[in-house]
Amino acid sequence: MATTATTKAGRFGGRQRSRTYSLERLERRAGLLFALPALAGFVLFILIPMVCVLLLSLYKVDLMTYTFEFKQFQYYDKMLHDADFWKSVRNTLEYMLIYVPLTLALGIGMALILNSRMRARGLVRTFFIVPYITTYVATLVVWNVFLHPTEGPVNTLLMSLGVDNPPQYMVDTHWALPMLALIGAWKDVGYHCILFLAALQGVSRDYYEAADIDGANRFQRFRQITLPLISPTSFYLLLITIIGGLQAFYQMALLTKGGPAFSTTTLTYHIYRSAFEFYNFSYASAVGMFLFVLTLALIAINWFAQKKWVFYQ
Amino acid sequence: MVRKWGLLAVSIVLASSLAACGGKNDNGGEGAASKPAETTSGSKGETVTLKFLNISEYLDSAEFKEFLDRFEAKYPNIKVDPVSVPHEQYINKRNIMLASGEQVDLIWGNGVEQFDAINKGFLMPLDDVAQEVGIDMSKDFGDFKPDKDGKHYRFPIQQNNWMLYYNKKVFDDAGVPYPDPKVPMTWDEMAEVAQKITNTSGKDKVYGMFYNNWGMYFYGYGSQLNEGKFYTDDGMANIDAPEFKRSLEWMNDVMNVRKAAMPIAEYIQNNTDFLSYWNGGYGMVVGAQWYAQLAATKKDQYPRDWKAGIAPMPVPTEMAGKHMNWSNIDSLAVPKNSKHAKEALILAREYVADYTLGAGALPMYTKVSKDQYFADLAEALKDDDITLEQVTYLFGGDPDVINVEEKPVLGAPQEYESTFLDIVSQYYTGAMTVDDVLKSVKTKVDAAIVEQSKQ
Repeated sequence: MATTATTKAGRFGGRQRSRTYSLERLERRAGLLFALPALAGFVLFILIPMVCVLLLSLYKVDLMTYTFEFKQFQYYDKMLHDADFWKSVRNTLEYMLIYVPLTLALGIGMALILNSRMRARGLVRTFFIVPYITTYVATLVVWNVFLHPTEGPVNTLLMSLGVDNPPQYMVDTHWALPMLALIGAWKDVGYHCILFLAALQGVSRDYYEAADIDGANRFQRFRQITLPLISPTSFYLLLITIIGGLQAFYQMALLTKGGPAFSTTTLTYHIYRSAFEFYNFSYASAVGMFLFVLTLALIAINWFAQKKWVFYQ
Repeated sequence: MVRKWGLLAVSIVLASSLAACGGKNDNGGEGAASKPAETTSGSKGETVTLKFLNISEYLDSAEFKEFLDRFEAKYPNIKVDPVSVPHEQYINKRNIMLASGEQVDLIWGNGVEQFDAINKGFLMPLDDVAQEVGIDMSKDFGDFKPDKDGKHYRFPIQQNNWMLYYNKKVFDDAGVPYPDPKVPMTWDEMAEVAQKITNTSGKDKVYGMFYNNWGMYFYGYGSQLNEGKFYTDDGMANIDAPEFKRSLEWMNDVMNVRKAAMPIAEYIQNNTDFLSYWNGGYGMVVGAQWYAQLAATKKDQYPRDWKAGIAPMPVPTEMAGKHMNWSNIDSLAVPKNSKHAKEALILAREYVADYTLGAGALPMYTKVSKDQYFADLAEALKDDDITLEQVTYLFGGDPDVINVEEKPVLGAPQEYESTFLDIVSQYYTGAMTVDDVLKSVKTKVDAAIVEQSKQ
């Protein structure tokens, strides 16, 4: 009897398992089907081009006759011995050194203002988001006028204050790159502000009330409660700001064309110039691969570092 | 099972991407590149469509549309698909189309652009195909020498004829006599005149001299001095030669000492267009026949209440009295992957013989009448009191004109021009000395020339 019961139970359990198994399979299939459009997009528009860029960096290519000559790592060797490449790496890092902290700091600052009880909050919020939703070209035209060396409002103001030789922003090697970083930060800060604001609004008031009872001042509340609780958002924004900084291109292409004297040629602009101005697609692809590795490395560093400062509730 | 399918899918993707990136076209290859494709379409009665890339200043004109109508009526089997790109964006668009292997049959370019494409192996030698359409490349364009390895890759349209254009109203307002119509000013004299006619005190500034942010406006005076020696005997950049230094210093004197030309920072940040001269706020400009072609004779597009004058291009004191010209040849070329080279050259031939002439420029093609061209141009400029004699002398009819290279076109020409323009502004803003600028340009261009010679 016991044996029969065990057998029945075994049979029953087996049916259960096979039913569960087939359900799992169905769910997996459905999941795959749902993921398929995104997967196809990823393969078509990211994976294949990436493989092509990798191959392009190893071959001398003539797309007119479709002839390919394997060059091993010759273009990488050229890249590593190219002074312009290292200058573009330095320019990219300098750009990021200004752009990343400035965008994050302004983003969180603006979000804190919007999160407080203030009048016309909706109007102010609209003002903050306008640069982000405006097209880059229009934004840059405005900045170009704004920073005009003789007739722009910035220098007109400086001259009226007694500054005899105000900066010639876009043709001055010392000013051009910081100004482009400033423009980049101004453009992107609205997006950061919105995400920070959403994160701030998700922080429970209870924590602040408890801190008030403990006698915490405003800075302590910000340092000990706000920052840790919005750290997942901060981490996400840090990553996309780093990626955005590494890919900065529009300002250089439209305002300075990488000049003056190569001072605003970042890695992306160096890639563009090598490929489309000097026809050197293979070399440009090698620099592209370097940029990809650099991006991965910076993301990896931050990914591991997050364990020390990001708190998931 | 899922893993196996996944692995298979990834393998197919990788294999297809390898094939897409590394495939070799059976119809292409080096052999096909050096030998133009057979074009029998015309004889079979099939219609061929030619993609023609050119700047919009030339393609968007009413004259070009009229020319196309005439051409397509004359050659019903050849249709033309014009790709019109504004001048300022032209080089990028052209480079992208060439480098990506996009099918184009005929492309316009100046000397730098065409030589750059020749050096990089994008263009087809034309001698054999030209013979098929009844053109002898070594005879039908005057003294037009082969471009590389004894072969012609360029189908010349016109040689630039440079001169001095001036605004008579600006001279009248300043009480300064007009430049002599036959005897060129020296550059030093031009600087003095530019200073005299400059008036930047009022609301509407008037600069004595307009310039373009193009290489020859900075190093062209030097090119006149050393006969266009942009390269040393061993093929390296010669931009640090004393003649070019003197040339750059002259421009600095006009721009920053005499304040007779717009400061370069302002010029760059204004995105100043090369046709801005015709808005009337400048006294003089050195320009070629395209100023007459695109603006002086087009008062409907560039209306003006002042008369323009023309005079020979200024020269260095050492060359006083001589008629000099910066020689640069605008040309058409056929990319080596064109499948309709013969039809493309038929279009090129008609373009220079019919359109170029009709649009106000003198083609180098010797089988057209120069006299009619001079007469037509003089007629178009008669409101400016410009005579047929002046037109003939300055627009290509002076056999004694001394031609010197307008730009460096041999080793790494694109890198040469681009590097020069990227750095030269630093001298005019006072950030670098002229010696440092020239040394820096030379170092970078030499590296580009060496690199290009390895390829």
